[in-house]
Amino acid sequence: MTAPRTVTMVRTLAAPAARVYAALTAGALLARWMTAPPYRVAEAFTEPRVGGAYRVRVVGPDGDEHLTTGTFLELVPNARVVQSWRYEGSFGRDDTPTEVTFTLRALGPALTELTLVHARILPGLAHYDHVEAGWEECLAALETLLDDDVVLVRVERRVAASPARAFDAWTDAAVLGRWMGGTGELLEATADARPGGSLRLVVRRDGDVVAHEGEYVEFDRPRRLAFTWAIPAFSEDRDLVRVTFAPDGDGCAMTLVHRMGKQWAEYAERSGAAWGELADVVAASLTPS
Amino acid sequence: MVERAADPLSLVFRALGDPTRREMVRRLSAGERSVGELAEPFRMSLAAASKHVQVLERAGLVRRRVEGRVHRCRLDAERLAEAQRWLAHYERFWGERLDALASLLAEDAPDPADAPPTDPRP
Repeated sequence: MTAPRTVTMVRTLAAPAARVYAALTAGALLARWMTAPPYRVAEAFTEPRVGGAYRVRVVGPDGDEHLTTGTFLELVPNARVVQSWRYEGSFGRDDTPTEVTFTLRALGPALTELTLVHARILPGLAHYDHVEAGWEECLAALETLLDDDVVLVRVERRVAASPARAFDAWTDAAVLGRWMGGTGELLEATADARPGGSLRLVVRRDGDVVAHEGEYVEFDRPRRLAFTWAIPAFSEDRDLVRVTFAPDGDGCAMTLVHRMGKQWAEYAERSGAAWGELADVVAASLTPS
Repeated sequence: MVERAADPLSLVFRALGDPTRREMVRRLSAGERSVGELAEPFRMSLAAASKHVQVLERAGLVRRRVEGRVHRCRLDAERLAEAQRWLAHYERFWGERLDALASLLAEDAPDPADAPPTDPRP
C-alpha cells in the first residue's frame, strides 16, 4: 500500500493571531472562507472544544455537495488547532479520516504566520486529488476575509524578465541595492535569502539615515515572496509586503500588495466592507454637491 | 521612503476601521444627517450612534453642530482626502521602486558585474 501523503502550506496573514484563530474555529467566520465562488458554504457548524464537532457543507453551482465533518482533537487558543477531517460528497466518501493541523505564530501585533498541515491523505480517498487546489482557494478567501481590517496598497508592473530573474532581484542584496534605494543614497543592503532570513536597507535622504528592516516570511521561488517591513526608528508596526510573479509572454507580471496591519488589532473582531471602498467614499465626498 | 505614519491619520484609519462608521461616512458623503438618521439603518440606539460619531469627530472626519435638540453631522472631506493621499504616497513609493526594478531588468544584465555604470535612477 502506498504511503499516505501530507500537504503543507504556509501563509503570512496581516491579522492578529486571535483573529486568525477565530476564523479557524467560529462557524460564522468559517462560512466566509471555507470555499470560493462559484461554490458557497451552505452550513458551517462548530463546537470549539476538545471533542467538539466540526461540520462544513459546501454547495456547488450544479447542486453538487461537499461535506466535511470532524472533531476538534486539540485547541490551543491563538496557537494551534488539530482536527480530524472526513470528506463526503460528489467525489465520494472517505472511509478513514484525515487530520488537519493549523499552527499559528505571531510575527507582530497584527501579523500571523499560519501553517496548515493536512496529513494521512491515503491514496484512494475520495478527495485525494483535490486537497491542494481546495486549500489554495480557501486560504486565498481567508486572506480576503482578514483584509476587512487592513489598509492595503496594490501595485502591478510588467517586467521584461523571467519570473525567476525578477524574483531574484528581491533576494540578492547586490541587485536589491541597485533599485530599492530610490532617490536616496543607499548605505547598506543585506538580504539573507531564505525563509526567516532578514532583510535590511539603510538609506540616507535629506541628511536623515533611515533603516528599513524585514524578514522573508514566504519564499516560493519563482512564484511568491513575502516579507515583513518596518522602520523600527519610527514605529513598532510590522507591515506585510507580498510580491507574486506570474509568467506573461516573454516577461513576467509582478503584483505587490503592501498590507498595513498597524493598530487594527483592537477592531479585529469586526468585519465589513473592504478597505478599497475608502477611495469611493473620498471620490463621492469630494464631488461638489 | 515611507518615513512615518502621521498620528492624525492613524486616528482616521482607526475610525474607518469599523464597518458601521464606514457606512456612516458613506451616507454623510451624500449630505448632512442627524445622529438619529445615521443610527437608523443599524437598529442601534441614539447613544450608540453618538459614540460612533464621536470617534469620527475625534478623527476630524465629521463636524457636529447642535440645533435645538438635534445634532447635525457633516463630513469633513479634507481629512478623508488626506488619508487617500497617504495611501497614494505608498502607491507612489512602490510604483517608483517597481519602475526602477523594471528598468534594471530591461537592461538584460543577469550578472550584476556586467551592469553598465549608470544607475537607472538618479
